[in-house]
Amino acid sequence: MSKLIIGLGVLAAYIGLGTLLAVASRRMMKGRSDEELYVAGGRLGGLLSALTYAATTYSAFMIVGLVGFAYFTGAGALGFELAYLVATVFLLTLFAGKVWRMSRERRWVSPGEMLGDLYGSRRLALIASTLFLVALIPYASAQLKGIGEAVAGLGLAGGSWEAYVLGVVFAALVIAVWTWIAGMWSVAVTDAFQGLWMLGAATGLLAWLLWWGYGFSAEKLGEAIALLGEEGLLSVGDGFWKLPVFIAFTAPWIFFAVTNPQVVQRLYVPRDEKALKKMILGFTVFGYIYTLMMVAIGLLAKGLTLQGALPQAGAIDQVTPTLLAVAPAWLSAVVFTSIVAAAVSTADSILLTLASCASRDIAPGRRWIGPLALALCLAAMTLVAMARIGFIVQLSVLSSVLLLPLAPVTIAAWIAPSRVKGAGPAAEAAILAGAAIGFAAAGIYGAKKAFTALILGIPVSVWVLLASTAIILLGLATSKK
Amino acid sequence: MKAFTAYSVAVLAAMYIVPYTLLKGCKGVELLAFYSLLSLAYIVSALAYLWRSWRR
Repeated sequence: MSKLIIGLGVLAAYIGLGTLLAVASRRMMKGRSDEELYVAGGRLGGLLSALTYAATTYSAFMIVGLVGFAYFTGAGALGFELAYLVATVFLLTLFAGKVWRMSRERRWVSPGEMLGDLYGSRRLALIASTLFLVALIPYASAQLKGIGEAVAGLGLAGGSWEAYVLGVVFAALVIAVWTWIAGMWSVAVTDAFQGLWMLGAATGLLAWLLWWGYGFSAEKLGEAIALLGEEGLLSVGDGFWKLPVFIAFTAPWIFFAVTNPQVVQRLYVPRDEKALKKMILGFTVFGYIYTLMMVAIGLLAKGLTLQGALPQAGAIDQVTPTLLAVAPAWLSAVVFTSIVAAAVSTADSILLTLASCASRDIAPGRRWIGPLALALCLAAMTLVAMARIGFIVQLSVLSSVLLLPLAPVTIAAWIAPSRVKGAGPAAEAAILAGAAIGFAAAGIYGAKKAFTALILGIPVSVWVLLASTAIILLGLATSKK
Repeated sequence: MKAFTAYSVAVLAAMYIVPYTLLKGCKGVELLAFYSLLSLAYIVSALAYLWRSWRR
Protein backbone atom coordinates (compact mmCIF):
# COMPACT_ATOMS: atom_id res chain seq x y z
CA MET A 1 0.00 0.00 0.00
CA SER A 2 2.80 2.44 0.87
CA LYS A 3 4.37 1.75 -2.52
CA LEU A 4 1.11 2.69 -4.18
CA ILE A 5 0.80 5.90 -2.16
CA ILE A 6 4.40 6.92 -2.89
CA GLY A 7 3.88 6.11 -6.56
CA LEU A 8 0.73 8.18 -6.79
CA GLY A 9 2.34 10.99 -4.79
CA VAL A 10 5.33 11.24 -7.13
CA LEU A 11 3.05 11.02 -10.14
CA ALA A 12 0.85 13.78 -8.75
CA ALA A 13 3.93 15.95 -8.15
CA TYR A 14 5.05 15.34 -11.74
CA ILE A 15 1.65 16.25 -13.15
CA GLY A 16 1.31 19.28 -10.88
CA LEU A 17 4.76 20.63 -11.69
CA GLY A 18 4.36 19.89 -15.39
CA THR A 19 1.00 21.65 -15.50
CA LEU A 20 2.39 24.67 -13.64
CA LEU A 21 5.24 24.89 -16.17
CA ALA A 22 2.81 24.50 -19.06
CA VAL A 23 0.62 27.31 -17.69
CA ALA A 24 3.69 29.50 -17.05
CA SER A 25 4.83 28.95 -20.64
CA ARG A 26 1.74 30.81 -21.87
CA ARG A 27 3.48 34.06 -20.94
CA MET A 28 6.02 33.41 -23.69
CA MET A 29 3.29 33.09 -26.32
CA LYS A 30 2.47 36.02 -28.56
CA GLY A 31 -1.06 35.22 -29.64
CA ARG A 32 -2.33 31.89 -30.97
CA SER A 33 -1.26 32.05 -34.60
CA ASP A 34 -0.16 28.82 -36.30
CA GLU A 35 3.49 29.91 -35.99
CA GLU A 36 3.13 30.40 -32.24
CA LEU A 37 1.08 27.26 -31.63
CA TYR A 38 3.11 24.83 -33.70
CA VAL A 39 6.70 26.16 -33.85
CA ALA A 40 6.79 28.61 -30.91
CA GLY A 41 7.27 31.51 -33.31
CA GLY A 42 10.80 30.20 -33.99
CA ARG A 43 11.98 31.73 -30.71
CA LEU A 44 13.16 28.78 -28.60
CA GLY A 45 16.56 28.95 -26.91
CA GLY A 46 19.25 26.28 -27.37
CA LEU A 47 18.68 24.36 -24.13
CA LEU A 48 14.91 24.24 -24.51
CA SER A 49 15.29 23.19 -28.16
CA ALA A 50 17.77 20.45 -27.22
CA LEU A 51 15.60 19.03 -24.47
CA THR A 52 12.41 19.07 -26.52
CA TYR A 53 14.24 17.38 -29.40
CA ALA A 54 15.60 14.73 -27.03
CA ALA A 55 12.37 14.16 -25.09
CA THR A 56 10.38 13.96 -28.33
CA THR A 57 12.83 11.50 -29.85
CA TYR A 58 13.41 9.30 -26.81
CA SER A 59 10.09 7.77 -26.00
CA ALA A 60 8.83 5.08 -23.64
CA PHE A 61 10.48 2.70 -26.09
CA MET A 62 13.82 3.43 -24.43
CA ILE A 63 13.01 2.66 -20.80
CA VAL A 64 10.52 -0.08 -21.61
CA GLY A 65 11.55 -1.46 -25.01
CA LEU A 66 15.31 -0.95 -25.20
CA VAL A 67 15.91 -2.16 -21.64
CA GLY A 68 13.90 -5.27 -22.52
CA PHE A 69 15.71 -5.71 -25.81
CA ALA A 70 19.12 -5.52 -24.13
CA TYR A 71 17.89 -8.03 -21.53
CA PHE A 72 16.62 -10.56 -24.08
CA THR A 73 18.84 -9.98 -27.12
CA GLY A 74 22.07 -8.56 -25.69
CA ALA A 75 24.68 -6.21 -27.12
CA GLY A 76 23.05 -5.91 -30.55
CA ALA A 77 20.48 -3.63 -28.92
CA LEU A 78 23.27 -1.13 -28.24
CA GLY A 79 24.40 -1.25 -31.87
CA PHE A 80 20.83 -0.80 -33.05
CA GLU A 81 20.27 2.32 -30.96
CA LEU A 82 23.72 3.85 -31.49
CA ALA A 83 23.45 3.34 -35.26
CA TYR A 84 20.37 5.56 -35.03
CA LEU A 85 22.26 8.18 -33.01
CA VAL A 86 25.31 8.22 -35.31
CA ALA A 87 23.07 8.54 -38.39
CA THR A 88 21.05 11.31 -36.76
CA VAL A 89 24.13 13.31 -35.79
CA PHE A 90 25.34 12.90 -39.38
CA LEU A 91 22.03 14.09 -40.87
CA LEU A 92 21.71 17.01 -38.45
CA THR A 93 25.31 18.11 -39.03
CA LEU A 94 24.79 18.02 -42.75
CA PHE A 95 21.31 19.50 -43.12
CA ALA A 96 20.02 21.20 -39.96
CA GLY A 97 21.58 24.60 -40.70
CA LYS A 98 20.27 24.68 -44.25
CA VAL A 99 16.78 23.54 -43.25
CA TRP A 100 16.63 26.06 -40.41
CA ARG A 101 17.59 28.93 -42.76
CA MET A 102 15.05 27.86 -45.38
CA SER A 103 12.33 27.56 -42.71
CA ARG A 104 12.99 31.21 -41.81
CA GLU A 105 12.92 32.42 -45.38
CA ARG A 106 9.86 30.41 -46.39
CA ARG A 107 7.98 30.49 -43.06
CA TRP A 108 7.36 26.75 -42.81
CA VAL A 109 5.22 25.48 -39.98
CA SER A 110 4.49 21.86 -40.87
CA PRO A 111 6.87 19.33 -42.47
CA GLY A 112 4.27 18.58 -45.15
CA GLU A 113 4.23 22.27 -45.99
CA MET A 114 8.03 22.13 -46.35
CA LEU A 115 7.85 19.31 -48.90
CA GLY A 116 4.99 20.95 -50.77
CA ASP A 117 6.92 24.22 -50.97
CA LEU A 118 10.21 22.64 -52.06
CA TYR A 119 8.61 20.49 -54.75
CA GLY A 120 6.05 23.13 -55.75
CA SER A 121 3.14 20.77 -55.12
CA ARG A 122 0.20 21.33 -52.78
CA ARG A 123 -0.87 17.74 -53.41
CA LEU A 124 2.47 16.49 -52.11
CA ALA A 125 1.92 18.38 -48.86
CA LEU A 126 -1.50 16.77 -48.57
CA ILE A 127 -0.18 13.25 -49.28
CA ALA A 128 2.72 13.60 -46.86
CA SER A 129 0.54 14.97 -44.08
CA THR A 130 -2.05 12.25 -44.58
CA LEU A 131 0.70 9.64 -44.32
CA PHE A 132 1.94 11.29 -41.12
CA LEU A 133 -1.55 11.04 -39.67
CA VAL A 134 -1.91 7.36 -40.56
CA ALA A 135 1.60 6.20 -39.72
CA LEU A 136 2.08 8.00 -36.45
CA ILE A 137 -1.02 6.68 -34.74
CA PRO A 138 0.68 3.32 -33.92
CA TYR A 139 3.81 5.11 -32.76
CA ALA A 140 1.87 7.41 -30.45
CA SER A 141 -0.27 4.46 -29.31
CA ALA A 142 2.92 2.65 -28.32
CA GLN A 143 3.59 5.49 -25.88
CA LEU A 144 0.22 5.06 -24.22
CA LYS A 145 0.72 1.30 -24.18
CA GLY A 146 4.04 1.82 -22.40
CA ILE A 147 2.28 3.76 -19.67
CA GLY A 148 -0.50 1.17 -19.43
CA GLU A 149 2.02 -1.67 -19.07
CA ALA A 150 3.96 0.27 -16.46
CA VAL A 151 0.82 0.89 -14.41
CA ALA A 152 -0.14 -2.78 -14.68
CA GLY A 153 3.42 -3.84 -13.70
CA LEU A 154 3.58 -1.50 -10.73
CA GLY A 155 0.82 -3.41 -9.02
CA LEU A 156 -1.85 -0.73 -9.20
CA ALA A 157 -5.25 -2.42 -9.00
CA GLY A 158 -3.46 -5.77 -8.88
CA GLY A 159 -1.80 -5.38 -12.27
CA SER A 160 -5.14 -6.04 -13.91
CA TRP A 161 -6.65 -5.06 -17.23
CA GLU A 162 -8.41 -2.23 -15.42
CA ALA A 163 -5.04 -0.87 -14.26
CA TYR A 164 -3.77 -0.97 -17.84
CA VAL A 165 -6.80 0.96 -19.13
CA LEU A 166 -6.51 3.43 -16.26
CA GLY A 167 -2.90 4.13 -17.26
CA VAL A 168 -3.79 4.62 -20.93
CA VAL A 169 -6.71 6.98 -20.25
CA PHE A 170 -4.81 8.98 -17.65
CA ALA A 171 -1.92 9.50 -20.08
CA ALA A 172 -4.26 10.61 -22.83
CA LEU A 173 -5.72 13.24 -20.52
CA VAL A 174 -2.32 14.63 -19.53
CA ILE A 175 -1.29 14.77 -23.20
CA ALA A 176 -4.48 16.61 -24.15
CA VAL A 177 -4.07 19.24 -21.42
CA TRP A 178 -0.35 19.91 -21.91
CA THR A 179 -0.73 20.19 -25.66
CA TRP A 180 -3.73 22.48 -25.45
CA ILE A 181 -2.44 25.00 -22.90
CA ALA A 182 0.14 26.75 -25.07
CA GLY A 183 0.89 24.54 -28.07
CA MET A 184 4.61 24.19 -28.81
CA TRP A 185 5.50 26.45 -25.87
CA SER A 186 3.88 24.21 -23.28
CA VAL A 187 5.05 21.08 -25.10
CA ALA A 188 8.66 22.32 -25.22
CA VAL A 189 8.74 23.49 -21.60
CA THR A 190 7.18 20.27 -20.29
CA ASP A 191 9.48 18.29 -22.61
CA ALA A 192 12.50 19.95 -20.99
CA PHE A 193 11.18 19.12 -17.54
CA GLN A 194 10.40 15.56 -18.59
CA GLY A 195 13.74 15.07 -20.34
CA LEU A 196 15.58 16.00 -17.15
CA TRP A 197 13.29 13.70 -15.17
CA MET A 198 14.05 10.83 -17.59
CA LEU A 199 17.82 11.33 -17.24
CA GLY A 200 17.59 11.60 -13.46
CA ALA A 201 15.44 8.48 -13.14
CA ALA A 202 17.72 6.45 -15.42
CA THR A 203 20.75 7.52 -13.40
CA GLY A 204 18.99 6.53 -10.18
CA LEU A 205 17.90 3.14 -11.52
CA LEU A 206 21.36 2.33 -12.85
CA ALA A 207 23.07 3.39 -9.63
CA TRP A 208 20.61 1.37 -7.55
CA LEU A 209 21.07 -1.70 -9.77
CA LEU A 210 24.86 -1.48 -9.41
CA TRP A 211 24.52 -1.11 -5.64
CA TRP A 212 21.68 -3.54 -4.93
CA GLY A 213 22.62 -6.21 -7.44
CA TYR A 214 26.37 -5.93 -7.59
CA GLY A 215 27.44 -4.03 -4.46
CA PHE A 216 29.60 -1.84 -6.76
CA SER A 217 31.88 -4.88 -7.00
CA ALA A 218 34.01 -5.24 -10.13
CA GLU A 219 34.31 -8.95 -9.36
CA LYS A 220 30.53 -9.45 -9.41
CA LEU A 221 30.27 -7.44 -12.58
CA GLY A 222 32.93 -9.65 -14.12
CA GLU A 223 30.93 -12.75 -13.18
CA ALA A 224 27.81 -11.27 -14.81
CA ILE A 225 29.75 -10.44 -17.98
CA ALA A 226 31.06 -14.00 -18.11
CA LEU A 227 27.50 -15.36 -17.79
CA LEU A 228 26.20 -12.95 -20.44
CA GLY A 229 29.05 -14.04 -22.73
CA GLU A 230 28.23 -17.72 -22.21
CA GLU A 231 24.61 -16.99 -23.11
CA GLY A 232 25.79 -15.41 -26.38
CA LEU A 233 24.41 -12.00 -25.36
CA LEU A 234 27.67 -10.10 -25.90
CA SER A 235 27.97 -10.82 -29.60
CA VAL A 236 25.75 -10.67 -32.67
CA GLY A 237 25.21 -12.98 -35.61
CA ASP A 238 24.06 -16.22 -34.00
CA GLY A 239 21.15 -15.19 -31.78
CA PHE A 240 18.42 -12.65 -32.40
CA TRP A 241 20.64 -10.09 -34.10
CA LYS A 242 21.37 -11.84 -37.37
CA LEU A 243 22.57 -9.33 -39.98
CA PRO A 244 19.28 -9.10 -41.94
CA VAL A 245 17.42 -8.50 -38.66
CA PHE A 246 19.91 -5.81 -37.64
CA ILE A 247 19.48 -4.14 -41.04
CA ALA A 248 15.69 -4.47 -40.86
CA PHE A 249 15.61 -2.81 -37.44
CA THR A 250 18.10 -0.05 -38.16
CA ALA A 251 17.09 0.96 -41.72
CA PRO A 252 13.96 2.85 -40.61
CA TRP A 253 15.63 4.30 -37.53
CA ILE A 254 18.71 5.75 -39.20
CA PHE A 255 16.41 8.01 -41.25
CA PHE A 256 14.19 8.90 -38.27
CA ALA A 257 15.46 12.51 -38.15
CA VAL A 258 14.33 13.02 -41.75
CA THR A 259 11.13 11.01 -41.91
CA ASN A 260 9.40 11.75 -38.61
CA PRO A 261 7.58 15.09 -38.79
CA GLN A 262 7.69 15.75 -35.03
CA VAL A 263 11.51 15.94 -35.13
CA VAL A 264 11.77 17.62 -38.54
CA GLN A 265 9.50 20.36 -37.21
CA ARG A 266 11.91 20.94 -34.33
CA LEU A 267 14.49 22.20 -36.83
CA TYR A 268 12.26 25.27 -37.29
CA VAL A 269 12.04 26.27 -33.62
CA PRO A 270 15.52 27.51 -32.48
CA ARG A 271 15.70 31.32 -32.35
CA ASP A 272 19.10 31.57 -34.11
CA GLU A 273 21.94 29.45 -35.46
CA LYS A 274 23.68 29.44 -32.09
CA ALA A 275 20.56 27.94 -30.50
CA LEU A 276 20.38 25.41 -33.33
CA LYS A 277 23.97 24.29 -32.67
CA LYS A 278 23.23 24.03 -28.97
CA MET A 279 20.16 21.96 -29.80
CA ILE A 280 22.23 19.45 -31.77
CA LEU A 281 24.97 19.33 -29.12
CA GLY A 282 22.52 18.96 -26.24
CA PHE A 283 20.44 16.31 -27.97
CA THR A 284 23.54 14.30 -28.90
CA VAL A 285 24.96 14.32 -25.38
CA PHE A 286 21.54 13.41 -23.96
CA GLY A 287 21.06 10.63 -26.50
CA TYR A 288 24.46 9.05 -26.01
CA ILE A 289 24.27 9.00 -22.21
CA TYR A 290 20.65 7.87 -22.12
CA THR A 291 21.26 5.05 -24.63
CA LEU A 292 24.25 3.69 -22.72
CA MET A 293 22.30 3.78 -19.47
CA MET A 294 19.27 1.95 -20.90
CA VAL A 295 21.37 -0.85 -22.40
CA ALA A 296 23.46 -1.12 -19.23
CA ILE A 297 20.29 -1.47 -17.13
CA GLY A 298 18.99 -4.23 -19.41
CA LEU A 299 22.26 -6.17 -19.43
CA LEU A 300 22.85 -5.75 -15.68
CA ALA A 301 19.31 -6.96 -15.00
CA LYS A 302 19.92 -9.98 -17.21
CA GLY A 303 23.16 -10.67 -15.35
CA LEU A 304 21.21 -10.75 -12.09
CA THR A 305 18.61 -13.09 -13.58
CA LEU A 306 21.35 -15.46 -14.75
CA GLN A 307 22.79 -15.39 -11.22
CA GLY A 308 19.34 -16.14 -9.78
CA ALA A 309 19.07 -12.79 -8.02
CA LEU A 310 16.22 -11.39 -10.14
CA PRO A 311 13.11 -13.18 -11.45
CA GLN A 312 13.09 -13.96 -15.16
CA ALA A 313 11.04 -11.34 -17.03
CA GLY A 314 8.25 -12.83 -19.13
CA ALA A 315 8.51 -10.55 -22.15
CA ILE A 316 10.43 -7.59 -23.52
CA ASP A 317 7.88 -5.11 -22.16
CA GLN A 318 8.02 -6.71 -18.72
CA VAL A 319 11.72 -6.26 -17.88
CA THR A 320 11.41 -2.73 -16.49
CA PRO A 321 8.25 -3.56 -14.52
CA THR A 322 10.09 -6.60 -13.08
CA LEU A 323 12.87 -4.28 -11.90
CA LEU A 324 10.36 -1.80 -10.50
CA ALA A 325 8.70 -4.57 -8.53
CA VAL A 326 11.90 -5.18 -6.53
CA ALA A 327 13.22 -1.60 -6.43
CA PRO A 328 12.63 0.66 -3.39
CA ALA A 329 9.25 2.36 -3.44
CA TRP A 330 10.62 5.87 -4.04
CA LEU A 331 12.84 4.76 -6.93
CA SER A 332 10.09 2.67 -8.43
CA ALA A 333 7.81 5.71 -8.32
CA VAL A 334 10.41 8.01 -9.92
CA VAL A 335 11.23 5.52 -12.69
CA PHE A 336 7.58 4.74 -13.28
CA THR A 337 6.94 8.46 -13.62
CA SER A 338 9.87 8.72 -16.04
CA ILE A 339 8.15 6.13 -18.24
CA VAL A 340 5.06 8.31 -18.19
CA ALA A 341 7.22 11.38 -18.91
CA ALA A 342 9.00 9.72 -21.84
CA ALA A 343 5.71 8.59 -23.33
CA VAL A 344 3.87 11.86 -22.77
CA SER A 345 6.71 13.99 -24.14
CA THR A 346 6.78 11.99 -27.36
CA ALA A 347 3.05 11.63 -27.79
CA ASP A 348 2.17 15.30 -27.20
CA SER A 349 4.81 16.37 -29.71
CA ILE A 350 3.37 13.97 -32.27
CA LEU A 351 -0.14 15.20 -31.60
CA LEU A 352 0.84 18.82 -32.01
CA THR A 353 2.69 18.07 -35.24
CA LEU A 354 -0.27 16.14 -36.61
CA ALA A 355 -2.56 19.04 -35.74
CA SER A 356 -0.21 21.40 -37.61
CA CYS A 357 -0.27 19.08 -40.64
CA ALA A 358 -4.06 19.04 -40.58
CA SER A 359 -4.43 22.80 -40.31
CA ARG A 360 -1.67 23.77 -42.76
CA ASP A 361 -1.84 21.00 -45.38
CA ILE A 362 -5.10 19.08 -45.18
CA ALA A 363 -7.60 21.90 -44.63
CA PRO A 364 -5.65 25.19 -44.72
CA GLY A 365 -7.45 28.30 -43.59
CA ARG A 366 -9.86 26.48 -41.29
CA ARG A 367 -8.73 27.10 -37.72
CA TRP A 368 -11.05 24.45 -36.25
CA ILE A 369 -9.34 21.63 -38.13
CA GLY A 370 -6.23 21.66 -35.91
CA PRO A 371 -8.08 21.10 -32.61
CA LEU A 372 -10.40 18.59 -34.30
CA ALA A 373 -7.45 16.60 -35.69
CA LEU A 374 -5.84 16.72 -32.27
CA ALA A 375 -8.95 15.29 -30.60
CA LEU A 376 -9.49 12.60 -33.24
CA CYS A 377 -5.83 11.50 -33.23
CA LEU A 378 -5.81 11.32 -29.46
CA ALA A 379 -8.98 9.22 -29.50
CA ALA A 380 -7.53 6.90 -32.17
CA MET A 381 -4.24 6.35 -30.35
CA THR A 382 -6.09 5.67 -27.09
CA LEU A 383 -8.25 3.04 -28.77
CA VAL A 384 -5.26 1.38 -30.50
CA ALA A 385 -3.39 1.32 -27.20
CA MET A 386 -6.38 -0.32 -25.51
CA ALA A 387 -6.23 -3.14 -28.08
CA ARG A 388 -2.87 -4.01 -26.42
CA ILE A 389 -1.40 -5.46 -29.61
CA GLY A 390 2.20 -6.37 -30.39
CA PHE A 391 5.02 -5.08 -28.29
CA ILE A 392 6.20 -1.58 -28.07
CA VAL A 393 9.30 -1.62 -30.25
CA GLN A 394 7.51 -3.22 -33.16
CA LEU A 395 4.74 -0.66 -33.14
CA SER A 396 7.33 2.10 -33.06
CA VAL A 397 9.44 0.69 -35.85
CA LEU A 398 6.40 -0.04 -38.03
CA SER A 399 5.64 3.69 -38.06
CA SER A 400 9.15 4.39 -39.22
CA VAL A 401 8.79 1.80 -42.01
CA LEU A 402 5.64 3.51 -43.23
CA LEU A 403 7.37 6.89 -43.15
CA LEU A 404 10.58 5.60 -44.75
CA PRO A 405 9.68 6.61 -48.34
CA LEU A 406 9.87 10.21 -47.16
CA ALA A 407 13.62 9.82 -46.60
CA PRO A 408 14.85 9.99 -50.23
CA VAL A 409 12.19 12.57 -51.10
CA THR A 410 13.19 14.85 -48.22
CA ILE A 411 16.93 14.38 -48.55
CA ALA A 412 16.81 15.11 -52.30
CA ALA A 413 14.95 18.35 -51.56
CA TRP A 414 17.37 19.36 -48.83
CA ILE A 415 20.41 18.68 -51.02
CA ALA A 416 19.15 20.50 -54.09
CA PRO A 417 16.06 22.63 -53.41
CA SER A 418 16.22 24.30 -56.80
CA ARG A 419 16.52 21.00 -58.66
CA VAL A 420 13.42 19.37 -57.15
CA LYS A 421 11.03 22.22 -57.97
CA GLY A 422 8.52 20.76 -60.40
CA ALA A 423 9.29 17.15 -59.47
CA GLY A 424 6.18 16.93 -57.30
CA PRO A 425 4.58 14.03 -59.20
CA ALA A 426 7.73 11.93 -58.79
CA ALA A 427 7.86 12.71 -55.07
CA GLU A 428 4.20 11.81 -54.70
CA ALA A 429 4.73 8.53 -56.58
CA ALA A 430 7.81 7.74 -54.46
CA ILE A 431 5.93 8.28 -51.20
CA LEU A 432 2.83 6.38 -52.31
CA ALA A 433 4.83 3.44 -53.71
CA GLY A 434 6.98 3.13 -50.60
CA ALA A 435 4.02 3.43 -48.27
CA ALA A 436 2.11 0.86 -50.35
CA ILE A 437 4.95 -1.64 -49.89
CA GLY A 438 4.93 -0.95 -46.16
CA PHE A 439 1.16 -1.33 -45.87
CA ALA A 440 1.19 -4.46 -48.05
CA ALA A 441 3.88 -6.02 -45.86
CA ALA A 442 1.89 -5.12 -42.74
CA GLY A 443 -1.19 -6.69 -44.34
CA ILE A 444 0.60 -9.88 -45.40
CA TYR A 445 2.89 -10.48 -42.43
CA GLY A 446 1.00 -8.51 -39.76
CA ALA A 447 2.24 -5.41 -37.98
CA LYS A 448 4.37 -7.56 -35.70
CA LYS A 449 6.52 -9.13 -38.41
CA ALA A 450 6.30 -6.61 -41.23
CA PHE A 451 9.68 -5.03 -40.63
CA THR A 452 11.62 -8.23 -39.94
CA ALA A 453 10.12 -10.10 -42.89
CA LEU A 454 12.54 -10.77 -45.76
CA ILE A 455 11.57 -10.62 -49.44
CA LEU A 456 14.25 -12.28 -51.59
CA GLY A 457 16.50 -12.11 -48.54
CA ILE A 458 16.10 -8.35 -48.17
CA PRO A 459 14.11 -6.68 -45.36
CA VAL A 460 10.86 -4.93 -46.25
CA SER A 461 12.24 -1.60 -44.99
CA VAL A 462 15.09 -1.79 -47.50
CA TRP A 463 12.63 -2.53 -50.32
CA VAL A 464 10.64 0.54 -49.29
CA LEU A 465 13.79 2.63 -49.39
CA LEU A 466 14.99 1.21 -52.72
CA ALA A 467 11.62 1.70 -54.42
CA SER A 468 11.12 5.28 -53.28
CA THR A 469 14.75 6.20 -54.02
CA ALA A 470 14.53 4.76 -57.53
CA ILE A 471 11.30 6.62 -58.28
CA ILE A 472 12.51 9.99 -57.03
CA LEU A 473 15.84 9.67 -58.86
CA LEU A 474 14.05 8.70 -62.05
CA GLY A 475 11.65 11.59 -61.62
CA LEU A 476 14.46 14.08 -61.06
CA ALA A 477 16.36 12.77 -64.08
CA THR A 478 13.25 13.07 -66.24
CA SER A 479 12.30 16.53 -65.02
CA LYS A 480 15.84 17.72 -65.76
CA LYS A 481 15.40 16.76 -69.40
CA MET B 1 31.20 18.18 -47.01
CA LYS B 2 31.94 15.27 -49.34
CA ALA B 3 34.80 14.09 -47.14
CA PHE B 4 32.61 14.34 -44.04
CA THR B 5 29.85 12.38 -45.78
CA ALA B 6 32.28 9.65 -46.87
CA TYR B 7 33.71 9.49 -43.35
CA SER B 8 30.24 9.24 -41.80
CA VAL B 9 29.13 6.50 -44.18
CA ALA B 10 32.34 4.59 -43.41
CA VAL B 11 31.64 4.81 -39.66
CA LEU B 12 28.07 3.62 -40.14
CA ALA B 13 29.24 0.80 -42.40
CA ALA B 14 31.72 -0.24 -39.72
CA MET B 15 28.86 -0.53 -37.25
CA TYR B 16 27.26 -3.09 -39.56
CA ILE B 17 30.35 -4.98 -40.73
CA VAL B 18 32.80 -5.24 -37.82
CA PRO B 19 30.42 -6.90 -35.29
CA TYR B 20 29.57 -9.61 -37.83
CA THR B 21 33.16 -10.29 -38.90
CA LEU B 22 36.00 -9.30 -36.58
CA LEU B 23 33.91 -9.39 -33.39
CA LYS B 24 31.67 -12.35 -34.24
CA GLY B 25 31.34 -14.75 -31.34
CA CYS B 26 33.15 -12.57 -28.78
CA LYS B 27 32.28 -13.36 -25.16
CA GLY B 28 33.66 -10.29 -23.38
CA VAL B 29 32.87 -6.60 -23.54
CA GLU B 30 34.60 -6.07 -26.90
CA LEU B 31 31.41 -5.51 -28.88
CA LEU B 32 29.92 -3.17 -26.27
CA ALA B 33 33.20 -1.23 -26.22
CA PHE B 34 33.32 -1.13 -30.01
CA TYR B 35 29.82 0.28 -30.39
CA SER B 36 30.17 2.84 -27.60
CA LEU B 37 33.70 4.06 -28.40
CA LEU B 38 33.20 4.24 -32.16
CA SER B 39 29.97 6.21 -31.63
CA LEU B 40 31.62 8.52 -29.12
CA ALA B 41 34.57 9.18 -31.43
CA TYR B 42 32.22 9.89 -34.31
CA ILE B 43 29.97 12.18 -32.28
CA VAL B 44 32.94 14.23 -31.06
CA SER B 45 34.35 14.57 -34.57
CA ALA B 46 30.96 15.40 -36.11
CA LEU B 47 30.27 18.10 -33.53
CA ALA B 48 33.74 19.55 -34.10
CA TYR B 49 32.98 19.63 -37.83
CA LEU B 50 29.61 21.23 -37.14
CA TRP B 51 31.17 24.02 -35.11
CA ARG B 52 33.87 24.68 -37.71
CA SER B 53 31.70 24.45 -40.81
CA TRP B 54 28.92 26.70 -39.50
CA ARG B 55 31.22 29.37 -38.09
CA ARG B 56 30.75 32.68 -39.85
